[in-house]
Amino acid sequence: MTGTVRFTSIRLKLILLVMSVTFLALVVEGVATAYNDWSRYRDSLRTQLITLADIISRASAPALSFNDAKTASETLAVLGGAPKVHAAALYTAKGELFARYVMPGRDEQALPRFPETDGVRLTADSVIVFQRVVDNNEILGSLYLEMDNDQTERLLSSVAILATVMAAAMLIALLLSTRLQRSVIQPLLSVAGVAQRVVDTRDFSLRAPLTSEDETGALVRAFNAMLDEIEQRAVELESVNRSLEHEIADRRSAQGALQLSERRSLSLVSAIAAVTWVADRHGAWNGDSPAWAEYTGQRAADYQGLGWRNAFHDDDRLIINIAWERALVEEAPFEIDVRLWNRESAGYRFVSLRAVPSKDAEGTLEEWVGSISDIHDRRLAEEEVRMLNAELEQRVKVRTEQLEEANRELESFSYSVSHDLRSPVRAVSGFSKILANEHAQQLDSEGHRLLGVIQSEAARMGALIDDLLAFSRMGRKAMQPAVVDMQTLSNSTLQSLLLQHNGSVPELRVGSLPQAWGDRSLLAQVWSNLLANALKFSGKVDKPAVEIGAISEDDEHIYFVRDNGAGFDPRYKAKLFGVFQRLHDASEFTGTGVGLALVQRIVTRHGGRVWADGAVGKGATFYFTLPRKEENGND
Amino acid sequence: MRRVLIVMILLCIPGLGWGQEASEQQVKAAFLYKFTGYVEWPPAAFAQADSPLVIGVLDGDEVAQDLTRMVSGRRVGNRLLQVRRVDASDSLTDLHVLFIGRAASTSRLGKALAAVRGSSVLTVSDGEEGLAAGSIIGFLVVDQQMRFQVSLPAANRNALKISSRLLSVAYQVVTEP
Repeated sequence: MTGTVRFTSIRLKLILLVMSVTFLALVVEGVATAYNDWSRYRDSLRTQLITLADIISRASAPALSFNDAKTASETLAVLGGAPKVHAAALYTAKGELFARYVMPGRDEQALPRFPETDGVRLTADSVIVFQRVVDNNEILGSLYLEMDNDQTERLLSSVAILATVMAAAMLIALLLSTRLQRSVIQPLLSVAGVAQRVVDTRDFSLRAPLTSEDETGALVRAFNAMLDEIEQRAVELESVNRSLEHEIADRRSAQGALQLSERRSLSLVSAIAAVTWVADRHGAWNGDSPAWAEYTGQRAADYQGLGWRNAFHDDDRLIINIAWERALVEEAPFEIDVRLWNRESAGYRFVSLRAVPSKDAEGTLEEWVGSISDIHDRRLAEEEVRMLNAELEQRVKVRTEQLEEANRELESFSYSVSHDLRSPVRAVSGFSKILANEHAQQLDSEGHRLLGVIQSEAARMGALIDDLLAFSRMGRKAMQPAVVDMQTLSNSTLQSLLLQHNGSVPELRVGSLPQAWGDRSLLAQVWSNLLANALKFSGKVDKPAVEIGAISEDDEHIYFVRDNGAGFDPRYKAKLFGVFQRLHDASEFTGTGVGLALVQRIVTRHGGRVWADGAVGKGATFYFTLPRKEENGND
Repeated sequence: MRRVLIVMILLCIPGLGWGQEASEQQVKAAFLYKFTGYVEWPPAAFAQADSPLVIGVLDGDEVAQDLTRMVSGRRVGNRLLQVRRVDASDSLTDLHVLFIGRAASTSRLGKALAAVRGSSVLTVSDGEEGLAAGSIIGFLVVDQQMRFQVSLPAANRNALKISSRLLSVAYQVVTEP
């Protein structure tokens, strides 16, 4: 059905084409001819009138010259023989109407009252001319002629002729094109018929017959080739369709799973106590966030867009803006603690604002997902802990100061006590010496013995007081730190101690000792006390041995003195370094009990530590450390 | 350009057109001037190709006065126009136009006409009897309009050719002697 309609329309189009071309050619030709005729005729009218005016003006010149209106009228009356001229007039040089002629039946009043400038003028229905009458070089007057302009009638008649010719030509063109188009259309019709059958029956094995070898023939070939192609495609399509159906089924199940997961996500979000939100990639909120509205009391219109920022504390808004700016540039997650208005408590509460960028498969930022959790209580607790800590520190500081003050007082007390004790002890020692020297003969042997005890005890008391003074002076004396060669120092100290030593000489093992940074005289005191102890406590064994050595650590040097003497009970290790603490009886080993306390004091002032290892009868090892100091150069 | 110039000159000269108050004498003077344009003189009538055309006026002082004013500086063809007052006793044969006024007596008219008979002089008389006395053109008033008569035999006698265009406006043309 549609094929028939289409076919008719082509036929119609062909006829229309031929007809319109014919029509256009005829119209163009007709218009050109008519225009040519029109302008030629106009020129001939003009020439005709000018010639006539020349003749009449020459003939009427004498009449004007001699003011003979009658003759002039007679001259003009000659124009009665020219049927087209229907009015004429002569004017004197002054412009007065001199003579006239009007064709019978025409309006006599239509003549112009005054002559106009020379020339021909055309109007729709008349041609007029004004021409001066000149004779013997004198202007005698003007001639006016008016002629019928039958140009329009002439044009109408030529248009009528043209219309007739056109009608005839169009008729012939119609007959010819109807006859000719049949030969063109027939093959097309057969192709269209095949196409229609293919459409109706969906039988792609049909083929159009090839009848000619022109463009239509090419069309038939192309059409048949297309049918080949379609036939093949239809088969392929069938199989693709089947596989597509499988795919759709797969996708549907995947979609179901996805929806389930989405529902799960949504429930998860609503299960979380925190406020969750989603913003577009510029940070503007679009959707509804009931949790936010519940927390802040903002309405959707207030928090959508960038309005949500208004719910934060004025002082924190800058922090939020900066964090957002940075996050938008870096497209990286961020977390900040800020104050957010809480409707329920009618005040600002600390919250943790967290935002994570959500990106698509290509890594392009799509939106921001975030949460807001209330950390107000936690924050307050932290604050409290911080305050308590600060308070504690302050208390410790005060207590330390009090302790130091007490220490100083104690030191100065012990110093003054020691100092004051000295003179009575000296007196006892001096007077007992005088007694021994000057009154020896008056004492019996028992008296001598007691005097000896008094003297030795007084000497011991003096030594004790000296040691105490030295110990307490330690707290006052300013240190003079310098590089100290420990090898030399320990060696010289040992040599001088050996000179005074009256026991058996021990076997000495001295290792390599690194240089130290400290007060030389104080460190000498350390060596002296430790080595004296070693010599003293090893003095009573068969083969005494004393070893000096050092171990270098990253940040300190550890020096040690070892002996194989009496040793000590490790249980009393802590008491070793106390003032007046003695583990051995004075009768067994002499000493004041101040030496190790002094060692500890000196080492501690240098920033080091002291400790000892040992066991009863198996010797002892005393360690002390000194911090390494980079300025020392070679250590 | 030349035409425009002429128009301007014409408009400057009073009494040229057929005015309302143009006097009879002025009309006659204008006619006299215009006749010269419709008459052909034999070449022998002029000494040279550009010799002036001389109009003599006998017994017509007013006409002579108007005419003089009218023709000053004007030409017929390439000839200047001259106006000369003449007396019957003067030699009249070297004139080209001779106007004999109404003031002249019949004897004076006849004498003057006789004097130029055979010479190429266009004689113009003012009165009914002028043509009969032998003048070529005679003025007459018809219906209070100045008209003129022409005698072709008289013109022939004086070897002058009168243009048919002039004749077409003449009141009467006498062809028989």
